[in-house]
Amino acid sequence: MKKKSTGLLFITPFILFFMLFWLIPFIYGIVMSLSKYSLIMGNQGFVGFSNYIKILVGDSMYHNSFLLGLKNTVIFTACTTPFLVLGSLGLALLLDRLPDKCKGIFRTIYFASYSVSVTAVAAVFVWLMKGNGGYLNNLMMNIGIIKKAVPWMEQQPFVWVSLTVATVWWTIGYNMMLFVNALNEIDPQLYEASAIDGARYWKQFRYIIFPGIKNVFYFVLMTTIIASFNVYGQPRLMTKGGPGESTKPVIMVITSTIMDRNDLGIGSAMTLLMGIVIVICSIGQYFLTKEKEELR
Amino acid sequence: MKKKLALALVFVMGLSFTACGKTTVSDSTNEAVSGGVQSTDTNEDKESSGKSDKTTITFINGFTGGDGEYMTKIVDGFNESQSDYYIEQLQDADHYTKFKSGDFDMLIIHADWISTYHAMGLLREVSDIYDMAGISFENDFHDITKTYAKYDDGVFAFPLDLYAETTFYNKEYTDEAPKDYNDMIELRDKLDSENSGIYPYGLPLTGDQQWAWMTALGQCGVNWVEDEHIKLDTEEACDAFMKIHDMIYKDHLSPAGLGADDHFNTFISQSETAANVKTVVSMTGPWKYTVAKEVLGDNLGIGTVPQIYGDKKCVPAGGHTFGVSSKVTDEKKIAGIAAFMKYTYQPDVLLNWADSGQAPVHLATMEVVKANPEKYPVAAVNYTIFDDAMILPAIYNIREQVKYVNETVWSMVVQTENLSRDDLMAELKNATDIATELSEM
Repeated sequence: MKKKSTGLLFITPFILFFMLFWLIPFIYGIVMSLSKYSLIMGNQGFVGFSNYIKILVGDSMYHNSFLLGLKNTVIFTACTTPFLVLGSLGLALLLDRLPDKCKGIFRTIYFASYSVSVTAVAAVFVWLMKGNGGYLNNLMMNIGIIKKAVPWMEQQPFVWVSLTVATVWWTIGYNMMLFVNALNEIDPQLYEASAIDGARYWKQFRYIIFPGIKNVFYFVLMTTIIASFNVYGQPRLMTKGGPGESTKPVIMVITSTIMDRNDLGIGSAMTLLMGIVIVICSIGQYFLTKEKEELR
Repeated sequence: MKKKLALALVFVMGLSFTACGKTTVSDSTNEAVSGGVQSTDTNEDKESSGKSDKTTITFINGFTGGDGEYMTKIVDGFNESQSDYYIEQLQDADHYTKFKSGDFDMLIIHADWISTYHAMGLLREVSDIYDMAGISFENDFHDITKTYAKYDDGVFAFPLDLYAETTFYNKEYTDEAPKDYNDMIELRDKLDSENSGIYPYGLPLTGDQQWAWMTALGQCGVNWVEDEHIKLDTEEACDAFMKIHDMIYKDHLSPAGLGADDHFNTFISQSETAANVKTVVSMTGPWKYTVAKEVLGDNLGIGTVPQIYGDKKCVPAGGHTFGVSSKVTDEKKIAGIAAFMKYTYQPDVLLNWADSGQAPVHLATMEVVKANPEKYPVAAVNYTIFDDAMILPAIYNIREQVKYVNETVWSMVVQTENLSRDDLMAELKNATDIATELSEM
């Protein structure tokens, strides 16, 4: 009985905070999404699924802006995820083969960018990539690689390239650290044994490394996709969602709906719809992974 | 040991409850505000806990740049002069959101926001405060203020200044500011823009683009408002936007492919690299004067917006005003706000605001500023165009209504070399549809 009460005491703070800062806001968000809810006028009554219908069906501005935001978010996710997952894996493998003395230095160098705030990252990359007077264009023109400035920050598809480069530079170190830790968990004897059997690096990667880090790989893939879906800082600070609205992600659309158009009801519905999209992606990924395991 | 652990946990829990208790108070305040039910109790609590001897008036504004210190000077001056009232100022770039969801008595509101805030019931009618302060809205301010501060149900703001699009030019390349389109063409030829990379003017992807298309519409005499929304899907509006496009791609008065704020960046650029384009004239806000002066020194010239799109005189403008929250019902606070207005609207005090580069619209202060053009060069130039100033129409949600034009339509106009009228018209129709939907919200 005493043990039970002590255990209860241990989990009470968590339950309390979980309820206050997750469960209650979540339920409140659902209620708001089913209401005509203005930031200024407050709750103006239950409207059922009307907000969801406005977003998903018809030709309203909410429908158009949500779909545009979703499309932009998917493009961003498709651009960044391969680099953030495969690139970070590549870096981790590279680090893994370095002499022990160098590992720490390079690990710190690659991870350092992750500690920089998004504001600083955006400022630096705007300075680097700006079309007129940007460092990169000036450098390439002075060397003679290009004759005319490339509109890295002004025109598509170059703006996606800039956002991708900035995001990869900023966050690749975090994923790399996860892979480095996973690689450290692999028993070195397996490498030695496979080498004796004549396995080259690719074979080692296929039969030893990847199976050993598989779980971390899928975790990194899933968290990277979720993080990409939640992108806000880079387009907000680097392009303000432009040119036009071509880099405006869903989160920016939601922020604008709530803060500029004062519509908490529609904004909450958009947030929940986005959450559903992310959950569907995660479930799909889970089943894809599971299928592979069964096939194997 | 277990007892000690349990005690420690209870202590932690207690702390968390305390923290939550504070959050709940703040949340409930926000909820009350967002629900439109202002709790005066909360304000009274604040008064009694903070400045018990003085009535505190909370004031939020967005002056986070160079002009912030000048507003602070006015506020500090008032606070020092007072034994009954205290203005508690918060300067925050996101001040509109904070005002909407927070608990403030007074704010700085832009002229083009008043119609929306008025329609949402966020602003208090202030005729009684004018009377208490001994100020006359009808007689003490420039007439243009009646287009945005006065409504059928009364006066809803205390006008502070008007800032109009200002022409800055580099005297190194031209002796005077261009006055019309032909002057721009002549300047382009003189500069040999295509070869030298120095252009008369810059049309950026973002940055004052709203003023640029407002100038085009206004100077072309386009009527772009219908009922309570903007209407741009007309041949006249399309013509005006095509003229902007032609400035870049037909007459090459502006370089193509400029980015954010490049209408000013290229103007103050000191780069000698041929790879970077430069501009000789920049049309922007008066707040850029200090930076431009710092970089160009005596080469900086100031002029009014040239007639580049049509014959009709029109200069886009905006303005700052003091607004009072509709939740303010406390007589003491109302008296305090009146005292602040009485103090502020004295030429000696309001000149602090002119020092920041702004052009006050208070007539008595205007006279002093006009008499000292050397000291207030930007304001002096701005006063010459007050009669032609065009502020965004005073309709509901106007800033949201023009957002699509600022983002999508504008980027299409300045970025698409082979822009067709059909494509442009399709986007202008989208802009009109969105504006119509927003006006009905």
